[in-house]
Amino acid sequence: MAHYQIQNVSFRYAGSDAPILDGISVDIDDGDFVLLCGPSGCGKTTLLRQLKNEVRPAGKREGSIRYDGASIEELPARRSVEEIGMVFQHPDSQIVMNTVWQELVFAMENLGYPSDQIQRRIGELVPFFGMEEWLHRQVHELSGGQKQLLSLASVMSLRPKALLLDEPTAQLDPIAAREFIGLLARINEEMSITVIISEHRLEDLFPLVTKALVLRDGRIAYAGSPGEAARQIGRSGSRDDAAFLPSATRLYLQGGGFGEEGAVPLTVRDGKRWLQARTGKLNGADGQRGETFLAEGKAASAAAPPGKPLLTGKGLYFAYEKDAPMVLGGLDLDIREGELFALFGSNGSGKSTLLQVIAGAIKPLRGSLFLEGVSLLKKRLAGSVGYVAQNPLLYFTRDTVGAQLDDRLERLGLEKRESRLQELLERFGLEGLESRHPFDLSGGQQQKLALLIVLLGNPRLLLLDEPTKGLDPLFKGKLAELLADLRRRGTTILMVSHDVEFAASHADRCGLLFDGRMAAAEDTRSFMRENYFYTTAVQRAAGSLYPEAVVLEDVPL
Amino acid sequence: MSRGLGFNGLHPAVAMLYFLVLLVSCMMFTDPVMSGLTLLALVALHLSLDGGRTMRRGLKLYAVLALFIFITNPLFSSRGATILFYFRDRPVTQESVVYGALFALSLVNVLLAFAAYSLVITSDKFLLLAAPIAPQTAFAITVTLRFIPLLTRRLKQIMTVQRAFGYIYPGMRKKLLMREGMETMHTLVAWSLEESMQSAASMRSRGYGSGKRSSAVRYRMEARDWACLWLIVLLGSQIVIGRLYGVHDYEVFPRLQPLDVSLSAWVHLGCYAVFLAIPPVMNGKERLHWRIIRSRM
Repeated sequence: MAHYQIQNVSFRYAGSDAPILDGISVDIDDGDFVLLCGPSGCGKTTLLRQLKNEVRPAGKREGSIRYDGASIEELPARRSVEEIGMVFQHPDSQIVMNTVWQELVFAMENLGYPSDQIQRRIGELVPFFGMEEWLHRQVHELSGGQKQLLSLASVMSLRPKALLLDEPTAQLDPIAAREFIGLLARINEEMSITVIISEHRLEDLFPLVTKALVLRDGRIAYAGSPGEAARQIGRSGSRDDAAFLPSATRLYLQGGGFGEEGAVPLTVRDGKRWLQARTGKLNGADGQRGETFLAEGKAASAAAPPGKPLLTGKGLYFAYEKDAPMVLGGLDLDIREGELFALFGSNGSGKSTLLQVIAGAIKPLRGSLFLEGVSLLKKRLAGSVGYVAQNPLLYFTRDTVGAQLDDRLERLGLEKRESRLQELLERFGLEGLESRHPFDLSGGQQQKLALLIVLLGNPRLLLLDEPTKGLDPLFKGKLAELLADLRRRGTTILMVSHDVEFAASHADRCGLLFDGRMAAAEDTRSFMRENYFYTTAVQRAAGSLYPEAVVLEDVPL
Repeated sequence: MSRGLGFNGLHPAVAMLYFLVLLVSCMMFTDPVMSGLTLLALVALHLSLDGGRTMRRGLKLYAVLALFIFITNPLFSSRGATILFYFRDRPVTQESVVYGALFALSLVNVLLAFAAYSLVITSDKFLLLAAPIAPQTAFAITVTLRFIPLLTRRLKQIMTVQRAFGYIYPGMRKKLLMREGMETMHTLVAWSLEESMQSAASMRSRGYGSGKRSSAVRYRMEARDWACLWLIVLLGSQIVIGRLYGVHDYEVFPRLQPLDVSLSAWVHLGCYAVFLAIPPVMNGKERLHWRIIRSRM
């Protein structure tokens, strides 16, 4: 019998007429690993929250959800808590207790387990999750990845039969995210726990799941095994929907592979094999075609003219405390006018610190920083540098969007009419929201609003701290258009990111920050080509055949 | 959570009782011998707990306080029969000098005892003790403890943005800074309220409020805990009852009293010395044990 039977479920939030879910029907079997994907606001989170009584939002539901053969409303409270576990998106807000240990036992204490049983379960959980080292630490000392592992472990302590996860890796860096997803796969395989996850990070997840559901406007657009879903998307020919697939699969669809027989490639490895087999078929002699392509590519990259330098930093040093290790250790930096520079680096490599130094929020211990020949450290140029932090909520100090914008204009000493406000509101699609509370906007709107607030100051240089974190592929595309538009109007952009795919498509130059120094800074194509790990999936799959291929469009299929 | 050996590994309730008796003794005794002995024992306790790090950190404060009392007491109080000299036409007596010294000594003792208490009864242990008595309060304290570093970090993030905007800058006027501070708080509160909705969902989904909570850790009274408990109860009642019956009831005024050398005073002193020796001996034993193991290896 199916674990969950969802039949014709529709849902409206209280006080709203528009249905957020519209006739969803799907069976989820025991031990399934289900991926829910789709653009923001398509109803993923709402659907997920229907599956657990304690977190169901207020509103009107039609249709039926059956859990283990009985209607989910009739599931006794204790069984619901024990058998259905839920992990949320934000690492900080879902942890309640002060120490790792206390958080780990929180759920078991709530249900009144005897202490012997708690000790025993902890004894099993801690090694499984590899938490020995940090078991007795305080929660605020942990990294984001460790916090999400802790939340998962705390839920697993009740030995659930189904796990619901709402974008659990959206706030994590790629390495922590991969670790988390790997653990989920283990839990699903070894314990046969049903896992239902909503996520935007599909490159890693798609090959692992047994069922993929693509939602669109509250309906199921595509459903099936990952391969089937990919074929359906390929047949529909929708570019927007294809954005949710892994690069290897998109390569396959681009090459018209969905018409062929055989398994759909979901990983870089399978994509590479498919490509090799295919080019072998087409060309007979392999390699030749790649070489001609290489020559064309070289000519193209040499043609890009170098802009004149806008921001130059020399020998920047910074440490947070007297005896703490240097976060920036003699960093040199050179940003050219009009470019989009993407800065990579692992956690703690000093990326965010560098942005804050340039933004003037912290002072470096040593070194110089010049914006068009004027020292940023000696004289603060009002509005010449704009800084957008990761979290847009940091920018909202007023109760309405309108008041927030007025406050910004007043501080800049601008009249409403003569400012760029109206133009920016239109371009960002934020008109008509003036009376709303900034916290009531969607995540994407909040991000755009924070960007708009910064842009009102007309900065020459825009600093973005992980602008694509937690965004769905479609919104990333929109963001890229906005950034391109800003650059046409003469704004230079320096962005810090983990998002290799985004940078590969949109950045002019890329740099790698390591050990407080710039380890590499060159134009995007050669940067991606030279790198082994910090490069796109397309380069990894197609690089041996087409050395110049960095993004999908480069592969001549 | 594993329990260590030595004094730190005692059942927290037993350790709590020990500190209760110790603090009462610190405040109760004005006898120079008893107070001096207490000081020695507390120094030994601190050395055995963390090598005296916490004590050294507070040393300056203790010294200033003690010196202040020692100097000001004879200046303000002219009680006592033996006049040493006149200061601005006021007699400075030997008795009030001694009283000041003893008062300063017991103050330092109380401070040191509290510092040792916080080293042994950490907040975790205190909460475990409090949980069965006041579960809701203990839970609230734990959650609050988590909020302090969390809110501090959020505050820093918000201020980074304000600094990047140039709204906060070094050397700005107090009034403006206050205004910006209000904005910072506004954002912090709004943000934290928003997050608390998610915290509530996370708590509910893990069964918070569905019934009586249990406790993961239960300290069991082991043999050594019982032994220590009996020792503390026996010696403690000796010390307190003896003092109530007037043993070591040292009077400074009107004239310094000779030290008590009666048999009962010696027995009382002996009991107190044994009581004071419990933690350093327990910790010392562990250290010795390791030394011996190492020398045999």
